[in-house]
Amino acid sequence: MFEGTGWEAQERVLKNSRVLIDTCSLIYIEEHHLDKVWENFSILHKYTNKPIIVPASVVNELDKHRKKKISSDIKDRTLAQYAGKAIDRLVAMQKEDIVQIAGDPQKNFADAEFFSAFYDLTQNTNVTLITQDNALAEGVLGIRNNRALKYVKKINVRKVNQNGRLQTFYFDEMLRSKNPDFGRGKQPFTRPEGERPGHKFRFCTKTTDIPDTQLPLTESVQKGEMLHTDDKQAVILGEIVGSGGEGSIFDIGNNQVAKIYAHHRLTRRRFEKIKLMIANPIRCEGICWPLHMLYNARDEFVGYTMARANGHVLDPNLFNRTLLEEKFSGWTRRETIDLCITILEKISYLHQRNVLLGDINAKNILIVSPQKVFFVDTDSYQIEDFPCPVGTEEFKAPEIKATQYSELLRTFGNEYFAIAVLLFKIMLPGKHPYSHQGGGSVKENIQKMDFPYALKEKSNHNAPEGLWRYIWSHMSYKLKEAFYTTFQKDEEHCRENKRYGPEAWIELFKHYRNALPKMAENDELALSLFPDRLKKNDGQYYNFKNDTKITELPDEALNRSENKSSTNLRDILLLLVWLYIFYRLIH
Amino acid sequence: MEQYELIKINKEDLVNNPAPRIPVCLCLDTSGSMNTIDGGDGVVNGQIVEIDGKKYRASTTGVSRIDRLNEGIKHLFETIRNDDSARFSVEICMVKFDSKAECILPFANIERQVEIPELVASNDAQGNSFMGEGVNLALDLLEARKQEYKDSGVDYMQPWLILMTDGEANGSQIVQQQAIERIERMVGNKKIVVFPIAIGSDAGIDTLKQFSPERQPLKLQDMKYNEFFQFISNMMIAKSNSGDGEKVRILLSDIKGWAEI
Ligand SMILES: Nc1ncnc2c1ncn2[C@@H]1O[C@H](COP(=O)(O)OP(=O)(O)O)[C@@H](O)[C@H]1O
Repeated sequence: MFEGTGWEAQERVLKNSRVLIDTCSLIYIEEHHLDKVWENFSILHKYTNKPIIVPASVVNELDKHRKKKISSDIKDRTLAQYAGKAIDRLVAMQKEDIVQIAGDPQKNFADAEFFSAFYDLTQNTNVTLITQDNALAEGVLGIRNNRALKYVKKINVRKVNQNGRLQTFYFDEMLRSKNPDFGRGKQPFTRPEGERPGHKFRFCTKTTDIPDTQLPLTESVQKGEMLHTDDKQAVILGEIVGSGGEGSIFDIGNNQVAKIYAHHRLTRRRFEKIKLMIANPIRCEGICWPLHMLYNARDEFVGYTMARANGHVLDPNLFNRTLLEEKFSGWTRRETIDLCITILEKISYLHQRNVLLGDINAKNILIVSPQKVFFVDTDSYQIEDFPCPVGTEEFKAPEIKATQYSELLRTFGNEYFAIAVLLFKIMLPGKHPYSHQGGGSVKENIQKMDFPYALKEKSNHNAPEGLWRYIWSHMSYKLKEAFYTTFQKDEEHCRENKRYGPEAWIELFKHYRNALPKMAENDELALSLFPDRLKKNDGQYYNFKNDTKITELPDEALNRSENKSSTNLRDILLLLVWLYIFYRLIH
Repeated sequence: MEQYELIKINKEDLVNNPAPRIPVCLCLDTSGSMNTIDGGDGVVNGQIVEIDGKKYRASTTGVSRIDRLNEGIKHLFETIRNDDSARFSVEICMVKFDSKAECILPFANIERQVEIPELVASNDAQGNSFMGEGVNLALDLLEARKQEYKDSGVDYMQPWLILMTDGEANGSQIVQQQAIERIERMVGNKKIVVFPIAIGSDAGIDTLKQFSPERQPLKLQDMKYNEFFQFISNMMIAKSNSGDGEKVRILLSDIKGWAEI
């Protein structure tokens, strides 16, 4: 359809996706009088009948530039002129349905919002983004390349070149240090830069010697106060949306919040750590990484901005049956399995960059859905030689002897223990793996490593009373084995350097997810979060009143044998096909 | 409800709730002097009565200490019920002591404790205040609860004893000594947290001190019962949210609003 337009190469890509266009490309088109770009858009529209999407915030942005036509700065005036033209053009194109303006025009252009809308769009359809902005391109391609983000369809990013063609980005030609120039002097809006591709933090074993000395703060920060970011953007503190031991979280609009530290938490070490985090951004939807440093009118450091999280805090909402049934009504085994995978993928994303969460703790995870969660309190993460200064007894690995978290650099092995505890507590909603009859404090129980649940003939007969062993009994055998060998003393994965990491757990949970329909056929309670009896075993119900010995259930024994037979069948078929091909070849 | 039914429900509440528990015992003085008008600014009707061996002018108006205490306790229960972490963690029982010690509210899931018993101060002119007996009973109840947790595999944190009195202990000396020694041992082993609170002007601060080897007794300001119970519930909420460390830290700013310092 694009013969002779220079867009032939794009044809397939454009036809099979929704096209989104960014402010800077719209301006670039006007600046370089590239009317043919619009001609091509209308050709495209004829074939696809799908309008080009222009975020309302982009129009807003253009409008802001247009208003500067009486500015004393010639650059502003020129920009205003192009912006005006672009708006006129959009209005005309919208009439013809070639353009669709989407989103809330009242909302300012905000990155978090943009990314979130963009990400949602990519759930259902391929998307081509047209922009001149390499940071945005990098960010968007980050979504594409991000293993942790699921179900993303194809994402393409193109920029308009001076001949009005769409071309791909070449990132090596625009290294960070260079000032990217795509035909306009200044970026019309600021946005946090995307992640540096392939960037990893150092992994350190020696704590920083930057001390925790308190920084000056002349006056405590209040709601309504005006602060500014490291890049001189004004920020006004709105309502408090949460508070914790370290300070308070304030709404600042644009789907962002500010964390303002209590004075005694404002230390030099903290300041340097946040600075390091901001200099090396992590852009993963749902991980509320610091975006900008915040200062008060006296230029004193007071906190940072981040994307706003929503959803229900995992602990207590998922760790209690009453709350769970209220907040996550209708959830089955399947949803909790998906939730575990979603959480694990985010952890894995951080681990790949050498970031340890340190204080893995269900109070810092918010759940929107099994596929969408938020990680908050990221400023406590262990990054390079900055320790995670907090910890929770329930998640503390038995080998950690230190009592002073602020001087402790954790190992991946330490972190894997915490991950295992978290997963267990999601599967047996709220129950700690080491709670058992005759137990002591959480700390003592962890030290003993006496795991109370049964695996095959291995049983300690001290599982806690209540539904817990029923829930356990219904889980997939592989998962039970993984928990058992991680938590039971002297078992294969119990030691620091032998524990399962997030990727291994992901495999286990995916396997469980696949096995689930079969397991449910075998026993309908396989899907229940709170089964009230043990799993059916060869048609037999186990009554656990008298602590009958649990014979390990053949849970996927059934599965496995069926799998095997189907594999055999597949092998035979394959062999037949090969024989046939071979036969054809020699004849 | 049938007794058996109740036991069954309590058992299910106990074992099917995974939250680590904080068992709390409110151990409260209900001796006659708790009838005193709180703050002493009540209108007096001229009659003289003798309570706890002291003479008081009886009052027809004003709010007595015991009424304020009742109000404060209701406030405590409400606050805990309204917090999604604390309501599944904090478990409260109540002991009162005057000329005898008695458990007036046994441990149960807080949602089940719909009716909070009203405390009535004794009208016994001897003014007996069997604190030793009261504390002993409180410790027995806390220990029994802890044993239930252990037996059924429920996690728990150190128990709390909130001890409130407006007078001196005058029960059996032997029992009192026994209670003091038990507390000393438990506090030494970090097996209990004690909050000793003195009420009114002539409270036996020295007696309370004996029951609290680590923490200084605090004196409640007049009419600040609700503030005190708000503070206690905040501490409970913080504790049920922290999920770690056994230390209970109190900042001066937290107690300014209700304690005489
Ligand atoms: N980005 C965010 N968006 C919305 N709520 C948040 C965000 N970050 C934290 N919160 C909420 O604020 C509260 C305190 O945050 P947190 O960072 O955990 O503080 P602290 O480290 O002081 O405990 C938490 O309850 C959390 O749910």
